[in-house]
Amino acid sequence: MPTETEVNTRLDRRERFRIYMQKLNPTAPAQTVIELGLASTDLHESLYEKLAARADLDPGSQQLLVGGIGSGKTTELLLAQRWLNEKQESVCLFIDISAETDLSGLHSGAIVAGFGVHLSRAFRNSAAGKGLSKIDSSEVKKYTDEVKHFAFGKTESIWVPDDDYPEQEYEPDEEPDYEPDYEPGHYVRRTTPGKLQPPFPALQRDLKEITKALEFFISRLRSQQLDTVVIFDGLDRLLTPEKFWSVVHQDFRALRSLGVAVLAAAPLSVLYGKGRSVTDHFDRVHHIASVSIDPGKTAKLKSVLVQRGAAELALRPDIERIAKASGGVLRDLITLARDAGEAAYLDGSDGIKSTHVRAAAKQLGEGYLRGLSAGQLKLLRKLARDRSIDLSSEPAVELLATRRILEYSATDFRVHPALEPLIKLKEENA
Amino acid sequence: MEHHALNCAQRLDQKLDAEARAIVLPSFKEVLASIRVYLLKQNSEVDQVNNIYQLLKEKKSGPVGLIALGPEFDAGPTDFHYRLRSGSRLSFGITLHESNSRCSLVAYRFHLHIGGNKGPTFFRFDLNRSAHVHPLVEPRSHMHPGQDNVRLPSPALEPLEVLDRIFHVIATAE
Amino acid sequence: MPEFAAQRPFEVGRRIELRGPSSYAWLVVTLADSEPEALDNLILEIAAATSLPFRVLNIQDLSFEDVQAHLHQPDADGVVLSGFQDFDPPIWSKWDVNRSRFQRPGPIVLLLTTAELSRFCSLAPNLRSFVGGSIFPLASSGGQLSEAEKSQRIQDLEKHYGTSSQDVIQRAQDGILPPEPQFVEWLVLLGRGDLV
Repeated sequence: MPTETEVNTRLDRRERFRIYMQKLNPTAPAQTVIELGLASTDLHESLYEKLAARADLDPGSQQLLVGGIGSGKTTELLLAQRWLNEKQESVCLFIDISAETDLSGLHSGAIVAGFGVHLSRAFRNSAAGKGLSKIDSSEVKKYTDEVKHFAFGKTESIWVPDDDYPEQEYEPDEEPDYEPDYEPGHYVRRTTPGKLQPPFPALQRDLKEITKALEFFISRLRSQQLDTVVIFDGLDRLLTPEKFWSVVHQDFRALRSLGVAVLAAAPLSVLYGKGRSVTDHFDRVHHIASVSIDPGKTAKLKSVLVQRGAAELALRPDIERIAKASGGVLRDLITLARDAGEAAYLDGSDGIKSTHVRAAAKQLGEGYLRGLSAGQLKLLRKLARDRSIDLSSEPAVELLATRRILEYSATDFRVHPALEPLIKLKEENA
Repeated sequence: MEHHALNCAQRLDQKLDAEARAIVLPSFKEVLASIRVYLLKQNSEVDQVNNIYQLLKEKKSGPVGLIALGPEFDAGPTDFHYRLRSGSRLSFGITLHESNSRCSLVAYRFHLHIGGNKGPTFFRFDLNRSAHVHPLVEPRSHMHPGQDNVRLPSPALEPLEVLDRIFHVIATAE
Repeated sequence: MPEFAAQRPFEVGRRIELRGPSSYAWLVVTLADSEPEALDNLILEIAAATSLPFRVLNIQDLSFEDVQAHLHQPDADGVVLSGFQDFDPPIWSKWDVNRSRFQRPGPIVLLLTTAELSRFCSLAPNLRSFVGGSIFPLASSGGQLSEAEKSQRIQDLEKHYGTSSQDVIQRAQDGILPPEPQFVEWLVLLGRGDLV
């Protein structure tokens, strides 16, 4: 029978590893990570402060935050929101547009619709929205309903004559132009879809019809010395610059005309090739590059791990190995640390060893390797060999977007370090 | 006295037999999976040295299936035993008859060889295929407290119930 | 070609258990062929390892919104998603782009074939980033007695009882087989379960 000491030691070990796993969770919501104090605010040199300060000083400005998958964009945007909220000089709305609607079917008007819903809610919860007179309350309701209808659609009764008179549209309680009793016809219910309801209709709604409602809320907030800032997360998942621009350009123009500052995540592809024309429409484009993994330059990545408790289970050399294998991609960094810990636990080890880090890196690399075409492999081998890549080609930009290629600067592109040895091995075995 | 003892043993054996027949288990695959999962948990939480996937075996012949771990007879430690943290070792064989996705017990044997120097050297839980002609000496369902020729009647148990007695009663008392 | 490290279902379960109950975890498990038994074993063993209730959701005929609803009611248990055989690039893209709508504290395990895994890795980069290195080919729970193992057991039985397998079969046919459990096992090993 195990002794009490042995049982306690086993429980302690398990508890140590459980705590490690919770702090090094790559899929934990970014907001939770920030609230637990685990987010590194200076990983990207306090980029969130630059974003927030510009939005604060320049109402109506529009900034893009561009970075690869897993680079930490959401964290920077949430930190920006926190910075702005602490200043209390603006109403800052954070909208994950993919949580509002189907991003794959996104069309013009949806972004403004999502903004309007959040804005009207924020207004009602603010000081400006409380203690209103009867007239003001009814205006708030009117504009809130308009926003709701724009976003979610509405059903209305339409008078349809039975014969060939032109269709008259009026509300049942309005005075008709002629006596309806003498006009044979009937009411039908017509539903107009909103901007946020899939599937999206082909109809093009004029954004101006909703601008008046939005102006109402924004000006009331401004009268309380509060500017409006909106942060859009999720738009970076529209992987191509064409798709991104087709969705945002009308809506962002409308927001600019309202004097609303915009911060938006955008796909990495807007920095390259044809995508570059998109960036011309924005006041500032901030790029989160992959963090350096060059010798002597991994301090930032290591500090991210140490802040999250990696030193409880891993020694400095293995923390360095994890940092290097991540390629400087934040999510991959956390994933590798987590997976190395998992491997150590299942191995019966009390701490992480280099074999566990290697196993974790190999698993990560396999995921990047799987699904690559022969053409993509050829491009990657060339990059690994020559350290050069032509980013005007779509296949190359796609490899960049899917993180097989990492960008460290405008001229420094490399194959993800977890993937590179597997490509070499594949070539040798071919 | 002996005649009375024989009569009592007969009646008891009939009860044990009826109880054994009344046990209904899920399908063969489910019983196998539940035993595998039981041992996996036990191993991961306590004993930690056994590769259950390699140790636990099965074979079917028509409607009758065998689930086995370790050798047929315990003649010393082998790589095929389940090794407990205490130094004890376990082997077992369970035969089930499956019909309509349900199983009944045909027979079983669970042999726990005790590590250490105190007490009986082994415990074995047996369920015979049928009653013996001398139920006083060999009840259909019995337990050996460390001697092959001593068999004490015990109720027929479901396989996981036997494992519970082994891991949570006998092993914890060592 | 280098491959992912195969894992038994229980080991996958232990990984999930270690990550904690509200891990928001995504994992991929691959099966070489579609084996209904393998799926049953997966659920049983993962549930046992995690002490979390686990359910299988076949998404083949479900819309995106249906899947979203199923994943959020409830949202703290474990879910194995299967039925990706008809997933073409637009559907993978829709899932990838809208992955936030699937966010839930309970773990999600995608059950894919090796061909589906390749499509997933190339068409769903955001989801793949969430999965990271948690891609595990499922090793069989195994257990079939090999011919060598069977022969060894029969040999041990013959030696212990000093009788041949033929004799055991004969005695079983005559209804005079001893009642000890080993004799029943002997018949099963000989493929004569009909005599039990």
